[in-house]
Amino acid sequence: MPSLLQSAELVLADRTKADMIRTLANRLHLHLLRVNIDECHSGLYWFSQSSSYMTPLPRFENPPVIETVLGVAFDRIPGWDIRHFGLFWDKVRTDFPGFEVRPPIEQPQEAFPPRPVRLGLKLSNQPPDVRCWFVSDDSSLIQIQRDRFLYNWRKGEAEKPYPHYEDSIRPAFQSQWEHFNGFLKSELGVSELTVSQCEVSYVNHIKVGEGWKEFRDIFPVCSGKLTTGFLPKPEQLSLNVAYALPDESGRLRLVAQPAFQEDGTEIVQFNLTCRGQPKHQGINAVMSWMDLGREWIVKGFVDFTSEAMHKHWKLRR
Amino acid sequence: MPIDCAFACARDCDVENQTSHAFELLGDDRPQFQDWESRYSESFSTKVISLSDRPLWLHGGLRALNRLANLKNNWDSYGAEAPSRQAVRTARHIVGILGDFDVEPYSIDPSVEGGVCISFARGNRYGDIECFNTRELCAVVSEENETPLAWDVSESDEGIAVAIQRICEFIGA
Repeated sequence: MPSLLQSAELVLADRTKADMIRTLANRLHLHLLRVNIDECHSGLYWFSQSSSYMTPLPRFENPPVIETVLGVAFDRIPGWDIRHFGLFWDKVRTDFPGFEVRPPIEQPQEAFPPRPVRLGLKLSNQPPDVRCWFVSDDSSLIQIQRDRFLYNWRKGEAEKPYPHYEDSIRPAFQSQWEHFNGFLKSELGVSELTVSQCEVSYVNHIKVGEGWKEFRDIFPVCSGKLTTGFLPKPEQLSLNVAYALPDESGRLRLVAQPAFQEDGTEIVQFNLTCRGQPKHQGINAVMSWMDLGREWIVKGFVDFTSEAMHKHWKLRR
Repeated sequence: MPIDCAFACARDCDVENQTSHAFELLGDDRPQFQDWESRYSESFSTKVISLSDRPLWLHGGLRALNRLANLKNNWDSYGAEAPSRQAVRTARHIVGILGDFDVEPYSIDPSVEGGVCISFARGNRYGDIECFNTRELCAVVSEENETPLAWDVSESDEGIAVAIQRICEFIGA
C-alpha cells in the first residue's frame, strides 16, 4: 500500500549510503528524497518505482531559463469577489509591493485523449473575471484569479543567476500557496480548494549566435535530411510538440519559436510546459505533481536539446 | 494581406473615441482585437515579439529597427539626432502590433526630427506614425496637394491600434 508520505529529507554523512537510501525509498514508497551528502551529491534524488533506482536530475550552471512558473488551477472559489484581491494583497504587500490587473488565463484542461476545443457562448450578469499580479522588488510574481494561483520566478533586467527549483522556487511556491490557502480559510471559510490541474512552465531564451547558428544546432530533432534534398534551408521554423506522461498523469508541451526580445535581441524562445491533474487533493499531492512536472521538463529539455548546447549551458550531471 | 483588408470599421464612426471596442465590428475572417489581446493571457509574463505564425516581412522590419538603434548623431550629415533607445523600443512595439495584423509598412526610417518614422503608402496617399525621442507619438495622413492631417497618438496598445486603423482606412480608402 503506498505511503501517504511522498517526500522526505535525508542527511547522510557520506555517499556510500546509496543502498540505504534505495532500501528506505522502497519501504516507504517514496517518490523523491532530498539528500544532503556533500556539495556534489546533495539535492533532490528521484526514485523511480518502475526501475527501482535513483538518479539525480541534470543541473545546468548557466541555463537559458528566464522565467519559471508553478501554478494550480482549481474549482472557482465560492464567495470570491474583487475585494479579496485587495485583502490578499494586504497580506503579501511587504514582499510583493507591485500590483497589476491582467485578463484572466483560460487554458483548457489537459485531457486523455485530447478533447477538441469546444466553442460556446457564456451569458452572465456578473462582471468579467480578472487576474491580479502581485510583483516583488526582485521581479518574482504571484498571480491570482478566481480559479487559479501561480508563482513566477523571473530573471528580470539584472543578470542574476538562476536560483534553481529545489533551492528556491519550489519552497517559495509552497510557502505562498499555503499562505493563500490560509487566507481563504480565514477570510471565506474555504478549508480546501479542489485542484483540477497543476502546471510547471519554463521559459528559455536562447540568444542568436550564442553557441549555435541553425535550429538543428540546438534541437537535434531538426537535423533529419529531407527526402530529395530539393528544398533549401527554411526561412523560418517553429516547433510545437506534445508528449503524454505515463498513466495519463499529464502532458508535456514544447514550443520553440524565433522571436525578438523587447530590447531587440534576436532569440529562440523555448517554452516547456507540463500540465496535469494530481492523483489526490492536498498540498502533498500538489507538490508531488510539481516535482513530477519539473522532472519531465528537465529531462525533456536535456533530451530535446543538443550536447553542444549542454556544454554551452554548463551541464553538470 | 492587402493593407485595405487588414482592418474594417463602420464608416462614419468616431475613430478618436474608439478604444478597446475598435475591432468588434470586424467579420469572422478579419483580425479581431480580442484575439490580439489574448496573446498576453499566458501563465508566464515574459513578453517577446514572436515571429511564429507572423508574416515574413516582420523579421526584416525588426532587423531594420536594430540597425536604426546603432545610428550615431548627425547620421544624415545635417546634424540630425540619432533615434533614442526609447524611440526604437516604442517603434519595435508598434511594428509587433503591425505584424499581428499583417499590415506591412512601406518603410521604417530614422526621423530627421529625432526618432523613428514608420510609413505607409498607396498610390498618392501617405500615412506615418512617428516615435520621437521626446517620447511623443504622432500620426500623419496626407494626399498629394492636400494639407496633411496630424494628431497625437496615445502610447497605449489601444491608442496605437486606433492610429493604425485610421491610417489604413485613409490609405485603403
